[in-house]
Amino acid sequence: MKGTVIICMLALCSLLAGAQTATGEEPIKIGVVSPVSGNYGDHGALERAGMEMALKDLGGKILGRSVELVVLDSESNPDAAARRARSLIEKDGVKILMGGVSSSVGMAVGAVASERQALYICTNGNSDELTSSKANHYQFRAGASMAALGRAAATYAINNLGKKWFFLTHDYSWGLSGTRWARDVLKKSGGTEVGEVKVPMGTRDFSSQLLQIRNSGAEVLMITCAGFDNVALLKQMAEYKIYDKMKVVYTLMEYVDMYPLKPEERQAYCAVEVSWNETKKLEAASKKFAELFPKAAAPVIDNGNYNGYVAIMMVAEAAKKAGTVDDVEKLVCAMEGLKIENNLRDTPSVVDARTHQVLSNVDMVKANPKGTGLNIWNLEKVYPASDFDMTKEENPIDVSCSAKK
Amino acid sequence: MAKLSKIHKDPFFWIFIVFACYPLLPYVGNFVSLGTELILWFIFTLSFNLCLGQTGLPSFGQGAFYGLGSYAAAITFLRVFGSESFILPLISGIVVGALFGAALGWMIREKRGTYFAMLTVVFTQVCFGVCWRWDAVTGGEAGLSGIRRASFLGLDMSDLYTYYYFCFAVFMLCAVLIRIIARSCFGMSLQAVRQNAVRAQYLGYNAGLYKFAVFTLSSAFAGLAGAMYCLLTQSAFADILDWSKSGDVVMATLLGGGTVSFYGPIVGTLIFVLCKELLSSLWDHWAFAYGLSFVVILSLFPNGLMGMLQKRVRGGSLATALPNGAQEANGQERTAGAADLKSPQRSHSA
Amino acid sequence: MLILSLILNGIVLGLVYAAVALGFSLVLGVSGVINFSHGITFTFGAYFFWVLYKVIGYVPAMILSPILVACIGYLVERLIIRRVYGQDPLFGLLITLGFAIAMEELIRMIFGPAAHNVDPPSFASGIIIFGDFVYSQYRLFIAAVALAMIAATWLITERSNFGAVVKAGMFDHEMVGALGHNLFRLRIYVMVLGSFAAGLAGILAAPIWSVKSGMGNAILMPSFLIVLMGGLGSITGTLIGGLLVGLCISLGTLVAPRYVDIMPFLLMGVIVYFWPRGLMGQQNIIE
Repeated sequence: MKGTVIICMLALCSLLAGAQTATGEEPIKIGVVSPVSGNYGDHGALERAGMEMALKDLGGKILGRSVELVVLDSESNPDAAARRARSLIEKDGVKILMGGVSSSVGMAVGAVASERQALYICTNGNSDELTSSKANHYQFRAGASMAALGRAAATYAINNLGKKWFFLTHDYSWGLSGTRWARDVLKKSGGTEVGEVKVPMGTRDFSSQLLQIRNSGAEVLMITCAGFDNVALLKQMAEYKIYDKMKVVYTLMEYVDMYPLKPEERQAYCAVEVSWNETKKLEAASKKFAELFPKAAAPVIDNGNYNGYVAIMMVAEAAKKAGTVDDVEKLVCAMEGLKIENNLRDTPSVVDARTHQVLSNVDMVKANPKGTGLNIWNLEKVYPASDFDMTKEENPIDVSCSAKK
Repeated sequence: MAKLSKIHKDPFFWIFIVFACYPLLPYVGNFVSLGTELILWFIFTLSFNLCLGQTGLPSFGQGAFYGLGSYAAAITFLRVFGSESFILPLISGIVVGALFGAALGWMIREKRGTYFAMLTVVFTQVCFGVCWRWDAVTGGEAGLSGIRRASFLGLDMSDLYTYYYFCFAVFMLCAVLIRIIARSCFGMSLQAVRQNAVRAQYLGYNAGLYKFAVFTLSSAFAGLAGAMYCLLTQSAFADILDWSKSGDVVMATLLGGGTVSFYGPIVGTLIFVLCKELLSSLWDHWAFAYGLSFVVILSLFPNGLMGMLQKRVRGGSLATALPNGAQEANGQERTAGAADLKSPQRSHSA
Repeated sequence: MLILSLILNGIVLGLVYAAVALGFSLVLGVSGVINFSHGITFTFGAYFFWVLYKVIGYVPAMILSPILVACIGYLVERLIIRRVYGQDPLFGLLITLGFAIAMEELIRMIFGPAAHNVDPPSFASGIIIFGDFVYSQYRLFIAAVALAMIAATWLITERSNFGAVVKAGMFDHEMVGALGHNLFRLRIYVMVLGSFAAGLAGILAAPIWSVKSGMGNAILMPSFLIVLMGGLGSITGTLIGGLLVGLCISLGTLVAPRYVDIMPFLLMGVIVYFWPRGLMGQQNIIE
């Protein structure tokens, strides 16, 4: 009796669980592991919108075959993300994975990809580990590394803003690496470090830290902090009038986080992976994006959707070069050294063969308190990421095809 | 044990048949890591039910032992015993689960009811916080990865199907073990503690000691399940220590009817895990339906599926089917005083 | 000077935590339910306020939103929590947890997952500076409102008949029922009161934390700790517990910033070791 029930349940659930049947010419399936629900749902929606826009630009086809994005929810949680990645590979037979809003999710999916030999492009993880200690042969990263972002922000700050710095660090691997690279620049240029506070993830109240910072007498506050915590931090910095006392520099900022704030609450200098007003192409793409996705969290091209866009373009151009999308090994080798032309910028992005890092530009922007509408920041300087990314001495890892042989 | 002709009445027989043929099933068959995960969940919920269903301990911290077991296995593999060991990580998972379970169990053995539940929630949160932050040992929020399944007794465990059958064998072993425990003299005493701790105490059973023992035992099993999960995913993450995991376990157990049936947790887990995976792939805002299902299930079917089933079979005479609010007190000695100590029939009391 | 600012900050935080924990503690005591949906009432307060304050002004919104939250509290009690009275504590815990998960997602469905901005009122937006000493006016305003709320609750529970019944209910709700007081009604009152307080606290926190669907999770664990530390059934205990948690978090940033949110747990461990019922706790039925 009970046994029969169990069998019936299993049969029912399995019937429901699997629904895909292949007919005719098979579409290329690209698995997307990205937060759908939960607190990072808007970031996930943004990167998926970027991917969809890229597919639209490609006419929905790669190598003449239609493309299907299979989206599963990562719940912003590496354990769930790894499970969903395995599900995509085993159940749906996906060979190309992308997505991942946080670095920890990226590493978890990357580990699954390497185990099952599927290609994985991490879109929005910025931790150094993704291209250094946790790099693997099947894993690429579309976003910039923290080394490039942190050093670009620090170089700008040391040249233009001041030499007495205070660090505010989000206390996990991503935050720590941001501060590490900024400190690296500070030391080399002979500046002084006044102090550092580390805030754990999930901090909502920064007043204790801000009091400390306010009394420190630093000229520059170098911040590496992200997510919901960062929104609270921005507000509280305005509350404590930190902007009057010192210049605030972010090693990485999302347009989405700054957009809802009032002008006087955002007066920071920030490094971003892409600024929507860097090139004419980006501006046009932003307009198009806002039309296509009126409900997206940001109505412009921001880090999240840009990296999603680049990831799809990368697959398309590598597929053209390799002549196939089914042979993962060939695709990986085709990606190494690839110049991504369709990246909406004036110069192509290059995929580094040794670390599988995509190198584009890093933009320094200055928030614009008087800006209206979308124009919340002015572009100050454009640095090529290749100038600041980890050198071979700093990161000797080699995951390229030639090294594998 | 049952005679051969009656073997089809034993649910274990059917569970065995279904999961022995898992790779041949339609649709889910090639998704073998889901099957493995299901089996690990079975071990986990069955052992948790020793606490909840058998002894009436409202523990909300079982996810912590699962997670700690998983970390123990990962750390053993990566840092302590080197890479060629398959069985040592599993053993360390059991040991760590049992140790932490014993420590917590000893501290809260005299507590009961709501207070017990709160202390287990706090314990889970502390474990989660430490694992989440202690980069040097646990890898922080990025977790530990790079674990491989070495071969064991000449079997190549890196093959998913081999590992599946290994887990299956361990599950059958654990299930038989748990069933023996539940039906032993010890298990009966646990029921006495559940039905009326004070009376059991007067009869000479040291209720605190029994609670401590069963808590330790159950967390050892949870640790084993966690360690095997670590080898399945080849990584360990802090997220599985979060209380949402503990909530899932309790929910799966209650959904199946863990308080009224030994097999309840298995049924509940099967439906819970599969429906959660299915739901999350169908709807962006699946968490809404997921949360509401808790409310609906707990308020309409407090005895779970097995409870409903048994009620139908026995013509609704089950003592456990309670009208809402019929039993007001949390202090069980007041209302459950009439419950027969030695009766295997379980009355559902707080 | 820094220490002074940090202590002040700890006290303000502690008062907010205590105000939130009040409701949690009352419901736990009188109904025996571990109310995981308490965090979501905090969130609801902030969201109602965010919707209303631009339309009807700061002070009216501040009065109206907690009332709306209290209505939700009433509905939750009637429709959901009522069903699990007298059952295993895990039932109450899970059913409220499920409700909280669903409501959090509902908020995201309606308002989107992004954070929203709420401005502090114009009469309290600025900082006070005495030499090195800096403090935000708005936080002092929060402290005052939270303190007033706690004082009001104290008055209600210590100086009125209703309060006497509530206190007796926290000690032994069954006996209170047996003595002829309407236990069902008492539980509703307590839930409504608790939701009102949590909603108000959510409003107070909105301008400094900004409004987001997950904001309630940050106050759930402090409520747990405060109840365990301060002891059940005592408003003074809740206040002391709140201040302890607030100070511990605030001063902890000087000692070990990384583990700052684990420190209150350690403090709780120490306190519960020496005072198993919490600092001001008395013998209680749910132990």
